[in-house]
Amino acid sequence: MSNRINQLQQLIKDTNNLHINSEWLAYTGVIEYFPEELIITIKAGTKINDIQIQLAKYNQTLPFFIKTADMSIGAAYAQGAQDLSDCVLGVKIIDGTGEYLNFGAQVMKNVAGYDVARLLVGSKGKLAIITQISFKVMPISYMTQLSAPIKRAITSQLHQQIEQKLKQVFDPRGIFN
Amino acid sequence: MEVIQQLLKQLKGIVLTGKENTRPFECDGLSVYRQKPLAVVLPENIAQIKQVLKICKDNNTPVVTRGAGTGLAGGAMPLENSVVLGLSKLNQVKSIDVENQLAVVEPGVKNIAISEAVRQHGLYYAPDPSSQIACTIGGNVAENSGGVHCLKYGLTVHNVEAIKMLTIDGDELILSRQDDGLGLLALMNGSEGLLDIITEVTVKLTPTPVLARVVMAGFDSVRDCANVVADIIKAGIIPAGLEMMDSFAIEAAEEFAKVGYPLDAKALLLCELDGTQTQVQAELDSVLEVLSGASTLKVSESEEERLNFWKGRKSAFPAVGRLSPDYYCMDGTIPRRHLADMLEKINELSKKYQLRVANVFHAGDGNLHPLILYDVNIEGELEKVEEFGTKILKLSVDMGGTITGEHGVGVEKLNAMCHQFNAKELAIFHKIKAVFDPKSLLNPGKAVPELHRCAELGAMHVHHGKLPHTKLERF
Amino acid sequence: MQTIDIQNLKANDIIRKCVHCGFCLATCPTYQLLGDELDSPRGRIYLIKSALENHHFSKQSIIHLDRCLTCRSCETTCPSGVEYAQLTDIGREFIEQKRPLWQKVYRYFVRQFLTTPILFNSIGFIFRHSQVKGKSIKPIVKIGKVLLLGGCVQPMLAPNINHSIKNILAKLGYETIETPQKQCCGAIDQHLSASHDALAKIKQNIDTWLKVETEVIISSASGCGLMVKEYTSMFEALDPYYQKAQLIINKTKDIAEFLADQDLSQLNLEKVDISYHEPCTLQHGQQLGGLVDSILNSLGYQQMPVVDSHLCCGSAGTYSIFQPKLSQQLRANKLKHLQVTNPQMIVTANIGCLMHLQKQIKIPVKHWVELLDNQT
Repeated sequence: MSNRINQLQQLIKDTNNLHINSEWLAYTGVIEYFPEELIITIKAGTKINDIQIQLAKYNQTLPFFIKTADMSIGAAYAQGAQDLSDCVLGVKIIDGTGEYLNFGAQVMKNVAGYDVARLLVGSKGKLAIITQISFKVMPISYMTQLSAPIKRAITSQLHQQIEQKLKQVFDPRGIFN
Repeated sequence: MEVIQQLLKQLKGIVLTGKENTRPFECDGLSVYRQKPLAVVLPENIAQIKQVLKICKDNNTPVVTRGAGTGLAGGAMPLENSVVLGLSKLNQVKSIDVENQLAVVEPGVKNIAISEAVRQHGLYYAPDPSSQIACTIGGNVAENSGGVHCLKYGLTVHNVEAIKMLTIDGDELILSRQDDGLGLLALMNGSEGLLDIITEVTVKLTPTPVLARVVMAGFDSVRDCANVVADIIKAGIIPAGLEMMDSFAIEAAEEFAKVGYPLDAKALLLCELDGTQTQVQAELDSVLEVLSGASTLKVSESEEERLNFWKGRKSAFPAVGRLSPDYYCMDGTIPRRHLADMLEKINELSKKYQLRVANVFHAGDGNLHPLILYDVNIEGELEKVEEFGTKILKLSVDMGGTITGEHGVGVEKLNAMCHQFNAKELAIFHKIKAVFDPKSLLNPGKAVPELHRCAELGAMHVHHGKLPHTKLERF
Repeated sequence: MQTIDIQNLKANDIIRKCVHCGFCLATCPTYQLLGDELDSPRGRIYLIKSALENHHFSKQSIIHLDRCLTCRSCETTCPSGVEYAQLTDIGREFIEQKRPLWQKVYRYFVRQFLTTPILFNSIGFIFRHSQVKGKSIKPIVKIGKVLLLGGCVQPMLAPNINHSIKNILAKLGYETIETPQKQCCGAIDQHLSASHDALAKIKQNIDTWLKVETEVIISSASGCGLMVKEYTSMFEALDPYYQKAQLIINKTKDIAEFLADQDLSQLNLEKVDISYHEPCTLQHGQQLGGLVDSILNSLGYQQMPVVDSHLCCGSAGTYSIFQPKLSQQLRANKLKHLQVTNPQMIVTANIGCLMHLQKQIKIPVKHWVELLDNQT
C-alpha cells in the first residue's frame, strides 16, 4: 500500500472535519491500463486531460461527457453523471473511520456484493474519500455524440432520509462536509 | 402458523400453502439447494404486494421475491419459514415511448417479451441472458443480469432508466438515472432482493441494428481460441457478442440445437458484429483477418442462420444436462489477458478431481462459466464439486477478477464472498442492508455472508493477486 | 404393482433429466395465462414427482394436471430433452384413481362417444363442418398404394379432407386405401388415461395395418399421426408388439411429409389469402414445424409469420370439452394473431384445431390439403 494512502488514513482518523478536493488529495497517476482489456485504473486526483492523453495513444477514450478536462477524475466522479456511472467498474475508498476499502473489480462484469462503486458516484465527497477508480474505456470510433447529463433534484422525503442514512454507513462520525 | 392464517384470510385465491403446492417453489434454476417456504403468494397488483409485506413484517417472516425462478445462484430459493412473493402475474407492458426509446413494464414481464412488444418500432431491449425466453425483468434488475451482448450494449444496470420499488415498510420509492444524488438506482441493480421489491421498471430500448452477422470459428486448441479474443479487441473492434465454448459444450449444444457446430473443434468462438452494412463489412474484414488461424470458419448468411448459431450457445447450460445427470455452474470473471491460463488451470483441476468440465463463456468480457459435470447420487461427489468450484473462484479473485460476473451470489457463493471481501467491506454491505431493511426480512442471509461465517471458514482474504492482507483482522 | 414400479423407473429417468432451468415456463400456454408455476411444466413435473413418491395427490393438483394441454410446446423448448408428455401420461394414469366418480363417468362417456362410430355418427352430423366437394378422381398411372388413416371423427365432421387427399394422391399416381372409422388410433383413450382401451385398439390396428401391402401409411390429422408414431412407447422392448409397432412407425408419415417429396406442379390450387395455424401435434409432437409453411410457400401462398405460432389454439383433443374457459381464451388469442393479415381462409393440419377454431370465426377454416384439390 502506498505511503500516501497510509497518510490519508491517518489524517482521517485524526480529524473531525474534512473537505476533500483533488489538490488536497495529491494522489495522481495511472495505476494500470490494459488497452486490449478496455480497462484503465486511475488515482482519483489525476486530471481528466492527462488520462485522455494516455488513452488517445491507443485510440481509446473515457466514454462519458466531459464538461472540462481540467477537472480531476475524482471530482467528476463525485459530482456524478449517468454516463460516468455506467463505465465505473471499481473503486478504492477510505471511509470516515479511516478504513481503506475495495469495491468492484477490474473486470467488465461483477455482481459480487452491492454495487458500492456506482453507489458513490455523485456522493460529492460527503461519504468517503475516493482514492482510485477503474473505468471501462472505449475505442474512439465507437463513440457517439455525448451530451451533458440531465439531473433532477431529489424531492422525496424517503429518498432524502435514505441518503442520510447511507452517509452514516460510510461516515459515522460525520467528518466529510 | 399465524402468518399463513392471515395471508389466507386477507388474500383469498392467491396464496398457496401445503407441502404439495409449495414444493415446486423450493428452488430456482439452481436445484442443489432446496427449502420449502411456508407459503407462496402470487399477487395480481401492487396493493396485494403491500398487504403481503405488512403481514410478513408484522409476523417477522422473511420474504423471498421470485420472478420466473431461472436464477442460477439460489437467489430465489425460499428460506426456512419464509413467504415466497412470486411476481409472475404482474406481466404487462404498460407503455412504450418510441420517441425516447423507453418502455415501462411490470416486474413479471419476460425479458424477451419486451423486445417482442417493441419490435414493430424497430427497437429491442439489449441485455439478453441465456434464459431470456423465460426470465423476468424484475429478476434481471435484482441480479443485474448480463448476457451475450453486454460487451457492447451493457448489463441490466446500463439499460434501466428508472424503477419503482417498495421498501419492506411498503413505502414506494421511484429511482431514476437522473436523480441528482447517490447512485441508488445502480445500488438496487444486483441487490438480489435484499433491499427492495421492484414493482415497475422503465427500460431503455435500443434501435435494432440494420444488420447483424455471426462469425463461427473452430479452433484446434483452447489457448489459440482464447488468444484470438484479445486480438479482436486489440484490433479496435467491439463485437456485439463474443462467446466461447469448449468441446464438451459444443457437443451438448449441437445435440439439442443441431445447428452445425464443428464437433471436432477443441474450442468454438462465436463473434457477432452489428450495425450498418458498411460497419459490419468493415468489422467482418478485420475479424476474419484475426481469425485466419481458425480450423473452421463460417459466417452467418441469413438472420435465420444467425439466430441458429446463437440457439446452441443460449441453450448450452441445460443442454449439458444431456451429458451428465447434474452440473455445477460457475460464474467467475477474470481480466481477459488471463483467459488461456485460467482454462489450463481448470483443466488441471478437472484431472485432479476426476470431474469433467464443460466450458461455456462470455469471452468478450472475461466471464467464465465452467460447468462441472457430476452425479449427485454418487456419494461425496457434490462435496468434491463444491471444493473444485471454490478453487476456481479463488483463482478468479487471485487474477484480479470476481467470483460472480452475472449470476449473483445467492446462497451458492456465500463462502467465496469471504475471499473477495474483507470483514470491513462486508460490514459496509450489512449496514447498507440495514438502511433499507433494519429487521432483515427481505431475502435475509443471501448475497452477503455473515461475518462469523467467514471467520468459521478461516478464509484467507486475497486482494487482487497480491499477498493476503497483512492487516486483516482475524476473528 | 410391478407395472407401477416400471412406470416409476421410467418417470424417474425422465425427471432426472430436468435441470430445473425454467425455460419451459416461457412457452407453456397455461403458465402464460395463469402465471402460476403449478400450471407450468416445471411445476407439474414436481406434482407428478410428489404423487409418485408419496402416493399422494390432492384435488388441487388434479386441477393443475388437467389444465395441461399436452401440447408439448415445452418439449420443443427444453434443452435437456425432458420427455414431458410421457411423464404426464404416467402421472395422469396415477391420478385417475383419485379422480371423483362423477368426473370418471363424464370422461368415460365422452371417450366412448368419440371413439364409437355408431354413437358418434348418429349425433355427430349436427356438428358437421363441411361436405365432400367435387368428384373423386381415379389414379391413372399406378406408382404405388398408400394406406390413409381415416380417423375416427374426421370422416363424419369434415369428409372433404380425406376426399381431397385421395384425389391429390390419385393425381400423383397413388391408389389409396382408407382405414375404417372404427380403427381409431387410440389417442383419445390414451389421453383420458384409459391406456388399457388404447392398447387394445393399438394392437388391433397394428395387426390389421401390417396386412396391407404398402410402403406408406399417411395420416391427415397430425394428432393421430403423432399417436401412431409413438406406438412403440406403449410396449416394453421385449414385447413382440414392440417390433411390430416399429414397422408401423417406419412407414407412417404426415401428409405434409409425403407431399414434400412429390412434384405438386400438376395440382389445381385454390387461389385464396390464407393464414396457417400449425397444430402442436405437428410442430411439437412430430417435430415437423415449418414443413407445411414451406410447402405452402413453394406453391405461392404468401404468408407472414404468425405471432406466438408455437402456442396451442386450445383444442388439444378433448381439452376444449373439459377445460372450456382456458380453451376459449387460447382460441381468442390464436384467432387474433391469425387474422392480423386479414386472410380469407385459415388452414391447419389437424381436425381438432379445425373444428375448434371454426366455432368462433366466420371465414372458413380448412385442412391445408383441401387447397390443393380445387375442382372449380
